[in-house]
Amino acid sequence: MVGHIVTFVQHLQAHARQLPRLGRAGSAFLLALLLVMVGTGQALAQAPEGTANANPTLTTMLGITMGVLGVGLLTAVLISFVVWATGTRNPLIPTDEEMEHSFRRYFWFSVDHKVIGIQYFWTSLFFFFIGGLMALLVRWELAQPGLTFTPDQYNQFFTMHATIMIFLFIIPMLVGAFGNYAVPLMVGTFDMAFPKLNALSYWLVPPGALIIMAGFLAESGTAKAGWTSYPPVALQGGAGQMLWLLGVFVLGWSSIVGGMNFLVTIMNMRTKGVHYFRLPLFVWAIATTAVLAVLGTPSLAAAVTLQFMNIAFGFPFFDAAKGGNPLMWQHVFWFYSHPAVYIMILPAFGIVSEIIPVFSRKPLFGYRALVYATAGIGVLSFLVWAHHMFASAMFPWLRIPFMLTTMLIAVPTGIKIFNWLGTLAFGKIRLETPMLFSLALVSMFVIGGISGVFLGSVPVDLHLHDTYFVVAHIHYVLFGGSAFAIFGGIYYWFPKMFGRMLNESLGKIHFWLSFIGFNVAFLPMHAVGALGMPRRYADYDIAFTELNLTISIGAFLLGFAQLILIYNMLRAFQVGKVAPANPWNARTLEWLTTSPPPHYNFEEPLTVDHDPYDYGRRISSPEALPVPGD
Amino acid sequence: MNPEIARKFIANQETGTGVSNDKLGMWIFLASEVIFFAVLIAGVFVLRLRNLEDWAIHKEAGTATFLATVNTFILIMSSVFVVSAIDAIQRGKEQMMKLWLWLTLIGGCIFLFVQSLEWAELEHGLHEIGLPAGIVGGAQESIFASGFYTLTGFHGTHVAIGVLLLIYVLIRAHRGDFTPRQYNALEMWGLYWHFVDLVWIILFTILYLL
Amino acid sequence: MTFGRITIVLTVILAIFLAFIYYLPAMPWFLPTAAVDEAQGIDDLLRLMMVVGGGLYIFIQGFLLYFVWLYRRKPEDGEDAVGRALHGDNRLEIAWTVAPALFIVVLTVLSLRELDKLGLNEPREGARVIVVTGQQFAWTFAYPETGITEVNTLTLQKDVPVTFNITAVDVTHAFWIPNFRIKQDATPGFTLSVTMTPNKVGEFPFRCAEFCGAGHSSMLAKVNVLEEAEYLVWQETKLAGGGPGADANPEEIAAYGLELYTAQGCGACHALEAGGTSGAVGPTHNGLGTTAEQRVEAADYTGSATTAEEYLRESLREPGAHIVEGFPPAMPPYGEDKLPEGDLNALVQMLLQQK
Repeated sequence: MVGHIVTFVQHLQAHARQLPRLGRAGSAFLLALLLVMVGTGQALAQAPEGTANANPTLTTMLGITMGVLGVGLLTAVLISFVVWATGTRNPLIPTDEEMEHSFRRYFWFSVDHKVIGIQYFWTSLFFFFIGGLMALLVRWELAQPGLTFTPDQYNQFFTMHATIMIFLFIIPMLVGAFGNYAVPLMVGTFDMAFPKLNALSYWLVPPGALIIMAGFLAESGTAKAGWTSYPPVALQGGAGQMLWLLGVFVLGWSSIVGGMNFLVTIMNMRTKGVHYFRLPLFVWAIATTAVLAVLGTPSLAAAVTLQFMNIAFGFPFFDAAKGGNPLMWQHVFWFYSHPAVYIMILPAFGIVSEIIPVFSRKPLFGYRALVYATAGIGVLSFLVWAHHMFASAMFPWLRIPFMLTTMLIAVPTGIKIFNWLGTLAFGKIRLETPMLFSLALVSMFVIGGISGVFLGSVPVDLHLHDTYFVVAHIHYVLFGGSAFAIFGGIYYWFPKMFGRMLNESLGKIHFWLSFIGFNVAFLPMHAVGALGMPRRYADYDIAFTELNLTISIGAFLLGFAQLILIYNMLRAFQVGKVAPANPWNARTLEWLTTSPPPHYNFEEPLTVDHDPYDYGRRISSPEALPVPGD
Repeated sequence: MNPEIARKFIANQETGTGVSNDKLGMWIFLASEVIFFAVLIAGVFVLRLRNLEDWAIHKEAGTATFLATVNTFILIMSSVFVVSAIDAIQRGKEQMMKLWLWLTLIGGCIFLFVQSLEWAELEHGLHEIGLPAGIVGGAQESIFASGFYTLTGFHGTHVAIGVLLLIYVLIRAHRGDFTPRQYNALEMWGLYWHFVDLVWIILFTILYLL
Repeated sequence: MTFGRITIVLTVILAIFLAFIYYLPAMPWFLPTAAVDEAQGIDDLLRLMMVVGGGLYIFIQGFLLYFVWLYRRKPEDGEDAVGRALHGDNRLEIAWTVAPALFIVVLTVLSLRELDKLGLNEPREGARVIVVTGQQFAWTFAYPETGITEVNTLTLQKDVPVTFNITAVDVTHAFWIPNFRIKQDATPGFTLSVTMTPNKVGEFPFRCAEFCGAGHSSMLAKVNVLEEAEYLVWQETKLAGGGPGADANPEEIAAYGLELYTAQGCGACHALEAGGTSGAVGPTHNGLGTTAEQRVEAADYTGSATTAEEYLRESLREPGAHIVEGFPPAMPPYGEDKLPEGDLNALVQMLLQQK
């Protein structure tokens, strides 16, 4: 017996030395997750009756669900500890060797920015399909007048569609996946400034998502007040709404931590020769986005905090009968959420600014103007929030200043469009899939931008506000803009990230089906909105039947097209061509290393003596351009 | 992370800011925190403007300005202690630094204790003027109480986190981790503590003085 | 193809397209018929914006497609061909910053002028006041001058300006008649005034435009714009009071109850076969005569009624007394002002007959 104890203690000592392998970040994360779970359960169990539609069964059930998850997690931690203490290798935890090379590093707490980028990539892609499913359920309901689902279910579908697409697809994909993967490479360094915080900002996403999704288990369903969650109607949401608020809060943390990390990386870790005006446009876009995330997201955090207090404890912040102010939410929410629109579109512009010069074989036209336009949009985005509230109860005179700032933002956006056109002129344009998606963005985003000017004009907005015209506008911006850029980015960087080429023909089929499906789905929305169909309607006047059916058909085509992308990726892993270091003959730094790059990105630190889009220099072979340091 | 490779890369960096990563990161994080508190405070302030009368009555009934003034004094002093601690380590006086940090810790704990007295005071006061008992009960009927609990609650959480981090800093101080050239953790923590102090001064002005 | 020929072709396409979009708002499948004086200016502004925006779009698309076609990489260029090393052109860039900015300034000035001309939120002489109150999920229209109150039907007189004082009792809704163009949120705790002058006789849809919960898409009302003579007739009928007299027989009372059921918009939340409604926000009213009795006798009943009739009265006057399990406490109380005793009785009698 004593012998056993001695052996056990020896085991402990022997393995204590390996403790860091478990990863301090990992243990801290597990603990935090545990706290979040228990806290959620606790908060829900304590929701006083009557303030929300909280009925006791519902809160108890959610409390139990959260409790079960928490206990399960605790058990996993304990088992891991016992396995580790007794000297058996924990199959859950990769070894150092595996952490460096094996597939399994993608399922653990890696601090390598490339691994984190890929974790973000698959997570957001997964949520793209969940969010897409929600969209198709919405379109299924709206294909014909009358009700297929109950209005209550329908409200959950569109709320979750927007929430998932914004917080779990577009933002994590553009900033998390592409930003994480490409930025350190593009500035020529070995990792982000704070690798552990980087891991933390990824590992906050799954719990945040889980908390939001847990609403589906609630008796009264998940959040159903739209992603804008206007009180007082949101206050009636009960447990689902509370989970939504908590989840958004957690995701907000991920955004803030990530934004800080990007800013420090870009400001402090550029390799020699990469001064600010040699940064690729994508890096500029991520830097601007990071400023918006750092300064905008806390406003959202404060807003959801106030609403959570209102539902959970009955603090009457938004309850007009008790002195609260429902309008305050709109101001605070849009103070974040308008910059959030630019968080979703600026990196997309960045990707397009990478792809267009590469496939036109020309330097980016008016590089500095594009940089200033990006920064200008960033600054202006904090000054336009109330244009979402032209029809609200705010003072009517406030419409005027916000109309002026809103119109102003069209100018830097226009500069971008024209400079891309200038880049195309006199080029040698190759129409490969990344380029097709980028050109489609230029084309589709202009429609979204122009309809944005319509909506920025108060008299016109008073008619179009809260109709399907607005739905069309945001989809031309966020699908025709952000999502097309994401697809372009996938085709462009997939070879770098995974070392395999995607199939061109499948890519082109994916593009054309998406492009057609997209326009069939969203163009008629302008008309149906102007004709008088408000958004978020579960049922509609029979006069709108034909247009709605068309929209639904387009939506299903668009949904189907995305399966091709998945097939193409899976196929690439099986039979795809092995990617060379620089398949597109691009000049930014990420292409100077192998595909995929080694753990520290470059063999040797680089010293750069050229601009990012140096086409037209006499030396056309990319190898001749960089001058390796020392 | 392989320190060899990292060092090689870092030597080749063009640090445009000249500020260390940690410090830059901390400043950015604090900027974010400033917005968080600014929005909370502005929100409560806007609600106050709609409820001037109710605000005045509830504030009169439930706040002890004397206690809060003492608390403000303690927190400002603790900020001064942090400055002294950093000054001490810069001059190589390790014992002095530890002393100042212990004083800061005591200050932080007293602040939290007095704050809890304040909560009890508010609850009691609201009950006196006829609002329902229980922290949540009273606040459900009063914008002032809701705002007070929310703002001081979030600030208190920050102080509590600060105290926990201070314990970590103290442990490191006692392990002898800090030298006149290397006291990064202390400095970072100090920035955070000054920020928390600053927020309190604003909260004190808005909730007690104005 | 030369530049000259391309310019001609593009100009022709542009002209056709612009003509098309200029007339787009005038077509019945883009904007609903305008029915207030204020709508004309808004439609004109939208039309102008569509032409300017459409022109700009064609201009950009034209260049995009033209460049892609003209500067495509040809097989004879070889793999490594690069484009001309243009880094930018300050004069060109200033031009395409200033030109859109000018467009924007013009559109902004026109919008401001239009907004000023509408004078939506200023008091207007001779305007009739109507208090519009939104609640989940019905609209109440009160005419303070005559004391008439109607639910879900708004009656207006042609060519007489109306000031709508818009507010809500529970959550935010939005006042919107697509034919009237102008939209205004109805938010609890706020009252906003909007003045319009209807100029077309007819019946128009009124839709809640701000998401307000499960019954959002069934929160519909209708607007009747009448000529003066008809308006006066309507007003008199209303003032005389509807409903059968005290000596009416049960069938007449029930028929009037059913009329009220439709007029009050109960069907937005409740299902009743007799009234042809299928709302699912609140409990069904089919067979309510029987279920009401069962509910009063059930163990979990929380109200104070003892008979089915009392229960129905209680459910209308103070719906919070007993919430049927599985439904949200969304029903607003109907006091004496909204539902006088006689009307309440008619409704209850009608519902009791649903077996």
